[in-house]
Amino acid sequence: MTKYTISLILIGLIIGGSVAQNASQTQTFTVRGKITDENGDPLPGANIMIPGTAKGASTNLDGDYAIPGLSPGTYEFKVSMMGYESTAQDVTVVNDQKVSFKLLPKAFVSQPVIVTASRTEQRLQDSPVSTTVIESEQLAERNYMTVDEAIRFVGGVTMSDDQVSIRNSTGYAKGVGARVLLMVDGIPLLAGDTGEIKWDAIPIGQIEQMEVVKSAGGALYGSNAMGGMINFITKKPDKAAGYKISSEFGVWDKPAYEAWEWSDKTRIFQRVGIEHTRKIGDVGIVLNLEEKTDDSYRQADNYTRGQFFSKVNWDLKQARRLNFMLNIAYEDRGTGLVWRGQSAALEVDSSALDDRVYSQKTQFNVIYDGSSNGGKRYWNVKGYTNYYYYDSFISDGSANRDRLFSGSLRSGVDGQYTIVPFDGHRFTTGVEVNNSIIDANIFGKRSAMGGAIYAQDEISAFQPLIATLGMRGDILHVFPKDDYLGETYGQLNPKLGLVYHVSENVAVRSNVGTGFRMPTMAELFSELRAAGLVSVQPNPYLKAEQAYSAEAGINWFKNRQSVDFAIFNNWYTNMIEPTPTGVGNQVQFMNIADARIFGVEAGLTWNMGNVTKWVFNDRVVNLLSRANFNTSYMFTNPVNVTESDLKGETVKLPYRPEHTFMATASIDYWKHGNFIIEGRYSSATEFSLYPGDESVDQRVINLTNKFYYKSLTMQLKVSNLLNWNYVEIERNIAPIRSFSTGISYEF
Amino acid sequence: MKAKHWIYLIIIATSIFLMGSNCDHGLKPRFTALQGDLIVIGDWPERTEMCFLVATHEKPDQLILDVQLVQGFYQLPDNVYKDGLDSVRFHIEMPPGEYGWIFFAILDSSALSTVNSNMGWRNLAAEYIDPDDESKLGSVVIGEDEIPFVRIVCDFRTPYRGVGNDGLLDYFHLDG
Repeated sequence: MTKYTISLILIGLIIGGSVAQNASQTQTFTVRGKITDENGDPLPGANIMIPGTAKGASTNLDGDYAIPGLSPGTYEFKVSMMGYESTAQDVTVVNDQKVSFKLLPKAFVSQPVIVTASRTEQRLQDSPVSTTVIESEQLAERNYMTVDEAIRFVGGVTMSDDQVSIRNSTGYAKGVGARVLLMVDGIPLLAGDTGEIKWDAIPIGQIEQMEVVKSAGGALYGSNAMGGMINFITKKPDKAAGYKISSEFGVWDKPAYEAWEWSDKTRIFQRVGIEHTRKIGDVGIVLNLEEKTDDSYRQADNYTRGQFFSKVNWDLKQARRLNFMLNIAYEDRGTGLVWRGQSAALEVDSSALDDRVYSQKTQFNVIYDGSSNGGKRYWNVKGYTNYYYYDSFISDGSANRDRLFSGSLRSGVDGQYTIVPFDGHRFTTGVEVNNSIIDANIFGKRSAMGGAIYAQDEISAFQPLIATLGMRGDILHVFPKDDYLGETYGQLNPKLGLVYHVSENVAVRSNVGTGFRMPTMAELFSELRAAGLVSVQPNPYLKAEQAYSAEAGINWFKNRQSVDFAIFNNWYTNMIEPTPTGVGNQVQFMNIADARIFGVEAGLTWNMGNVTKWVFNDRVVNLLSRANFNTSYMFTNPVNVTESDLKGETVKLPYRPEHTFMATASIDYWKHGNFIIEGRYSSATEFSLYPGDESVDQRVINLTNKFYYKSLTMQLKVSNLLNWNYVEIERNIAPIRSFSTGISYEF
Repeated sequence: MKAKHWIYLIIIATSIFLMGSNCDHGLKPRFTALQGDLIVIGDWPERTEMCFLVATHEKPDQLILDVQLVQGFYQLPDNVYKDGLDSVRFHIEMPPGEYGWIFFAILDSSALSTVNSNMGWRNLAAEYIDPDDESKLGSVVIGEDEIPFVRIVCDFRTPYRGVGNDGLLDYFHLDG
């Protein structure tokens, strides 16, 4: 209870301080005004907030508002309404006065600006590679507890437990060896030992924009980007001081079958968080503290997580900025690896009941960037240090409990310089060095050092054609240790991208490029027994894997309505997959000589403002002020070419669905409501470890309803509405139906 | 297309999706299993580290077992061999089908992280023998409505060579 007590005391102090501040002021004035849309029609239910105070108002049916009790001074008025772009304005209050605002519907703003695909800002439609953008509002309105939950509803992206895959680039290896480069603010977050993504270390509430680049990115980002990139861009510290308190509470439903019931207790999950933002002079600060607990719907899977996130943004002179980010997360969780049997699919073997994993993750980043000549020169230097540690106690199937631990420290510096030397060219170049030090009883004490140099020219001199040429060279040296003699890996990755703007709204794109991934320490040196019968053996002679990626696509984009179609073919050589050796109960990470993933992806985004208007007593009321519809379909044919040639029949790569479909509808209704229905479908996959296990398709539907009132937001959510039982990896039932509610308050 | 048409489209698509699910819930409990008794005669080998009862559709030709052939296994609790128990009842959940090789294997303390972790002839301590013909392996059929019961006898007093071992193959020993 101590943690909650501390949170309550903090909240009390904040509120108390705010009240005391208000009480000390005497002479006050009232600010009134009207809020209208772009046509001058009144907007009832719009919110006006003054951050840092408890003041605020909501407009009436005529779009009028009034905020009384304002002391003389300058305030930031923030105006928001669902379906409209928020706006802010400084208002100096010296007497009673009138201030009106006009809001523009979201459907009529420009297309998103992305930064990941080319390392510089560009319009979405100017990118030669398929990119999906998810903005903070979309994340917030869907009430996701974790980032990996949100990722599952991005078109073209699938998850196998905690392993993410873009366009089926990756199978499942318990997170090891991600082929998707995950970044926060452009800084890689992969673990130094296993190369896996620590999803729980990503602060979902701090994400401003999520960019998913769906093509090999080796030419700019090097190892791990061979299957694409996911970049989380965190929020900039807000202009004014403010607090946000949020909490979520949920319960897991009973299993769909009585035979699977294993606990009389109501299984709950909850989250509590507090965020503080403030600006002191040129320095903006955001601090966020969060804790989550989950009893889980299955045995030996409960967890407690805590996280502290802080970001400092210092605006220096001459358009230069210095950013610091410190993120510390810990987790204590059960880790029953496989079910006891399909008759008791939510239970684990009794020997695994007390298996636990304790982990902590610390990330410290510094970014120093600046621009000059009206943005024609841009540079940045990024330094990072990630320290991940876990200590697990896993049953070997008997009363013995193996202790497996690993600590990995990964540090690096990346310097980038972008210049527009003359019209029609934007040239980017940079260097990167990184270092990994690992101390683990599974892989031993290992260390590696790498470096890279890259360059790219974006040529727009031949409008409407935009061509991008790039190349990156990487080198990694794994230092010798004991019997291991060390290894040096090197790779050159070129890319060529073309975008042709057929008309103002239609662009055709194509790109070819290569990617690669150096084997991780886990893949080279892992030595352990897994799931009782299986023995994972080291393979220090693994080669780096390479990808050759080609894509062509067409995109229509207008007022945030878009239609996109892409066809792609990715060839992999020396693909690293955990593979039963076929001569025993051993599994090794092995180079599959040749694999190919061909596919098509189609996406549609449709936004509508003022869907249904209702005129009542000559007043216009928006019943449905905005509707947004998103859908995506992907077909892939993932083939293990080498095995297929050997066996004379098509052998699919495991854990990769042939068909995936995702649809989301978000509807703003009445004055304060937002309703979302989201669904996804994936066809059944092949398994690797237990190929005879039953596999079913995935059908997941979530419903979310959200209410806004001034600074208060309340949410209700049903996840996995159908209570559909499926597995992403063998013998692990994915989350069953749950009900949750959330509340947040900003002041 | 008018705005309201999109709303109708969303509602129809959702309804189809929901109806398509047909109140089904995906994976279901499955109760198909194999049950039996392992009878132990003699003293357990001192170097015993892990014990498994394993079932596959048929006995492979190769010397050591490909883990992908395993359809189900049961790991004996360590008190069985530490306390020297002379019998243990097992229950292995397995998919329906015919199983022609049900065997008992022992790994010794060198099994982890060495080639000895492979399970093969040298680990084979007993097999399910056809009750009507002791020179043959026994076979069971697992269906939705029946759970077959087998009896496997492991006699540690004499080396076990395994059915089909013509003497050229290695046989059960735990010498590390």
